[in-house]
Amino acid sequence: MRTALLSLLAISSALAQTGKIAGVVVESASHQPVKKASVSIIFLGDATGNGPSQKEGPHNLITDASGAFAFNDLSPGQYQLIVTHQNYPQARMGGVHKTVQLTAVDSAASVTVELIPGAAVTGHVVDEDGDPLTGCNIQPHAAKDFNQGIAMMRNSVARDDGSYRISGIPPGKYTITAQCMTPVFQPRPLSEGPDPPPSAAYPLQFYPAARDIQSAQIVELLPGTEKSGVDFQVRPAPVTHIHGTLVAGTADWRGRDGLQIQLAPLDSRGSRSFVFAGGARIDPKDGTFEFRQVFPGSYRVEVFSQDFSARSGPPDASNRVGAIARVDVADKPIELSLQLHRAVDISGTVEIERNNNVAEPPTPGQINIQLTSETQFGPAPTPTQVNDDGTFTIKSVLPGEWRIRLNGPAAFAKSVRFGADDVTNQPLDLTSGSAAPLHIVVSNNTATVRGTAPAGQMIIAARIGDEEDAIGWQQAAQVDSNGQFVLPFLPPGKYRIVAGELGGPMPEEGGQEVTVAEGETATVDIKPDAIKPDAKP
Amino acid sequence: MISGNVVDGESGDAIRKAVVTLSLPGPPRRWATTRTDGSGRFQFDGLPAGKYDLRATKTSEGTAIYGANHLRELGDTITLDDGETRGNITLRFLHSASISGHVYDTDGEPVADVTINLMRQGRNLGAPILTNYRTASTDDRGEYHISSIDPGQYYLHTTPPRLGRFGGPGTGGEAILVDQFYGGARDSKDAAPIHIGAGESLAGLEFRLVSEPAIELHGQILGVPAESPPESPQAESEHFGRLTISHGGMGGPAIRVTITPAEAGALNGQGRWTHSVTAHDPEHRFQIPDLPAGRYRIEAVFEAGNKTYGASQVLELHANSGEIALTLAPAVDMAGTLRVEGQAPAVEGGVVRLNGVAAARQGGFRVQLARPGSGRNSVTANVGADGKFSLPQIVSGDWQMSVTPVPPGFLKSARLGDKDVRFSTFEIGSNTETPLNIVVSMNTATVEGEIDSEGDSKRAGVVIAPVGPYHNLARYYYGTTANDKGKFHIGGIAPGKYKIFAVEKMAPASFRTPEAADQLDELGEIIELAEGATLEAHPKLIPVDRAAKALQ
Repeated sequence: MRTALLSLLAISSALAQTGKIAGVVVESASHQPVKKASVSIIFLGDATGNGPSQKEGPHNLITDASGAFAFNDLSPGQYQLIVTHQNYPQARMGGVHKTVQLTAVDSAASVTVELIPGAAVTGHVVDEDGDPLTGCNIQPHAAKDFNQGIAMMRNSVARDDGSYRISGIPPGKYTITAQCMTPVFQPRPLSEGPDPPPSAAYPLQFYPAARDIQSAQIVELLPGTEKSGVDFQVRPAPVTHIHGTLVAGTADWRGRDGLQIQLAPLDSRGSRSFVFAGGARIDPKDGTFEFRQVFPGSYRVEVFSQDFSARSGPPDASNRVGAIARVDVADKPIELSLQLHRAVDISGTVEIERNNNVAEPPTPGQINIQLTSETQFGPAPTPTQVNDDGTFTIKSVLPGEWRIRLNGPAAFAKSVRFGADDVTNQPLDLTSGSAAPLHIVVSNNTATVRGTAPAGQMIIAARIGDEEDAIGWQQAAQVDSNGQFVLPFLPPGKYRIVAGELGGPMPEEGGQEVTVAEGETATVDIKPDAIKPDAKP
Repeated sequence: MISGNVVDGESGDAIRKAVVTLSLPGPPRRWATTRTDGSGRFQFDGLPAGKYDLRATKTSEGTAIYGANHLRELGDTITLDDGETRGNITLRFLHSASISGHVYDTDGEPVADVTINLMRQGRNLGAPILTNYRTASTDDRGEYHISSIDPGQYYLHTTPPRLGRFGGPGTGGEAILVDQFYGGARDSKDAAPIHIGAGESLAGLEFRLVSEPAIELHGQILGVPAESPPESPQAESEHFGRLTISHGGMGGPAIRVTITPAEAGALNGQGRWTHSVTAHDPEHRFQIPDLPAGRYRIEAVFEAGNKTYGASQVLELHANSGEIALTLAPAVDMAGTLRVEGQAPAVEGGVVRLNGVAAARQGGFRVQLARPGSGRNSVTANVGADGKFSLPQIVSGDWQMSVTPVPPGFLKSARLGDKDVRFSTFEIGSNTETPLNIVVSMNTATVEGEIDSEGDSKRAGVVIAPVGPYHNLARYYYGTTANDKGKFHIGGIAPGKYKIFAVEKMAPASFRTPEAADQLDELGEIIELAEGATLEAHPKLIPVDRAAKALQ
């Protein structure tokens, strides 16, 4: 009897939470301790699959002078540590994440979290005479993806003496641009009325002296370093202007509030954010508009209406209108006439391909069709569910070029016909504002990538291939506690498989390339040191 | 022909690449521009006879006004006869000022990415507030720089970083870093002003951040209507200036609770810190962590279909504050009328013009309600041709009203019931049924005349400042520049009692404030303006050094 009681006591004390996660936060380059870092711990779940309970709130600690922290009285399971610190760029933006496993009741895990110190860039901006040029915006861009993280990226405005300093940049490879909005001075004789449109302006310049991203120098910024002497000499380049008129096509601009017009470079992949030619106003009296300072090049001009709504209701898409056209600008002013069209409804059918060796195909009603665009400014059509009989109507599609994305269980578009044209893997061209019927053959003969990777990480398969094809398409899976992962239901194609910390940013480089065909399963083995984004060669 | 050079006001060095503008006031205004060369020289040829103004600027570096030694002065004009040549015109360049400093944490270590605001005194409905003039951020060394500053009196304020992440308090839940003004004050009323002189470079304006105990506010929303749709899973978002972090459930209406600091005499609403939390079903409780002690405005808004329910309260938060209760009340639709008295000024092509600037959309007025000290959640209504307007779904609490476009004309009356709501904060409750009746009058007054002085040049700035209950209201300050003969004209004035000041060589913008009016008080003269009247005045010229002395 007594022995039984003692055993019971032994079991209950074993159930007591005495797990511990302790560690230190250090700076990655110097391995100096980081004090006053904020460390949070979140319980993700235990081995029996219990998720976090609502009441199990996060705990927080601040590292002391030796960078140390310790969380006690933890029960077994998987935890996520999130470390933040104001002075370290990645640690400020989303926190540095680390997953820790406590296997037994009394486990003690020891963790070192490295914070990567940011880099700084300094230099001067001068004009064509070598005089300091003020009012220029200097901005670094991730070399791999120009627009990535632009909202979070540091930039700097050159000061009175033309000098600038940008700090807190996450280490990596960058191109650096200088955008000077300072007007190029044009003397004016004694006269009345507004200044004439400028004939020259400072163009966007890529360090050191390139006009396009292809010729730009890639600057590597190492952790905790300052790169000085990143100087720019900016010279004026001729500009001209575009004067245009909106004319009625299938829709009239008269009486419409809130029509927007944007001019953007045709190859906007490299410069989506540079709307320096930007927006203009459409004169409500005569439908005219003017872009006053346009550098030679090829552009797309796009007009679209805003979806107005009642005070808090959903946006009203039924009244959308738009126009789109290509404009090639040389050295002379351009007169343009743009036809305004109603947004069109695209009807179509979905055909499900039957494959003998694959599981139950999806039903049409499970498929959802979405039209997306990397370059369109105007509102995208609402994703449309296909009807049970395989028909669908995508409503309110503005003129432009759209990509088709299918959302649905394990399905991908095997072929697409737009009227008589085969547009598989190509954009839908709706620039003229009229639509043909769409026919999509859907297959569920998807591919799978499986393999091994460090436990607790996230594996991401990112679609790669032609520049225009499905950019940004990604699928993720978590590696289980045995170090295995499965990424099912992938549309056939080429992927980059990469591993990263749960909740952290996806590493820019590294990973493995895998091509999978319909129905194929590929196996990949991700080693731990392939993960580190700042691995030294 | 006019030629000369631009030199530094202090050192006499040449200023190159300054843009020089020579203008004839007209109307129509005509002007010419050129740029100084490597030796700071400029030249304008082929000029007809006339009286010219001459200025030079170099973007973000400073300005020169011919004949002025200080930015607040009016310059001299250059009178040119036909075929006359004036060489050796010198413009003294006045550099703008700059400041720099560092932000350190409680241990003396530099802090990166901290926002620094350089602020100036302004007025909101007569109450002194501080408005943002320039903003900067500290770099990785904790250093900040602000340049292109005009001379004047400023307040420097810092907002420390708030590391919000999902799931946790900012710095360990016990203490948080708090805002402060340069010199350490927490409230604007205790803040020490900084005097920045022309061309000064003030360095070493350092901040040492201070922490205070963090308080978690607990609250409950009462009076939630029964037919509310099902609650969405936890959705929490935090706003820091413009950064929004949202996570958790998407969609589904919820009760949005917003908290904003509501300092008395406070900083204006722009860029201030608000925190929104969704109250959880079923008891509609919420928590907002990490608040420093202070005075706040807390608002709860719930939208069920197209009906809005709201509650608004000002609370003093301290460590012992208990749970607060916000009782939702249905928002009201405020109806009102706007009547115009008198003749509207000339309308060109559907747009009302005032001094060449388009002042209105075609025909109509707009009435706006906004929370005091904040531009957020304002509600605007267009006044119809019948003079009626309706402001939909106004959540109860305190509000301020404004009417645009005014000027032209003046706001003669605005009554909610029997309360005058033109220039004060007023309360709207769910039982407010009285309409808002507004009268805009076009029967403005005019003051014109000639300055009384013995000297040759009577070039001066003329300002009229209200006496009496409107003394602190910036909109009732009017100004103009008298010409060389001392003649001036100011129109569009709201009728009332004023003091008129004519200051030699001083630009009206530099003394067109309640503070300046008080400092110059005994040097001015009282005038009374009736509706629609034109008054002829001959104010005595106040010599520039006497005025400068009074305006310390």
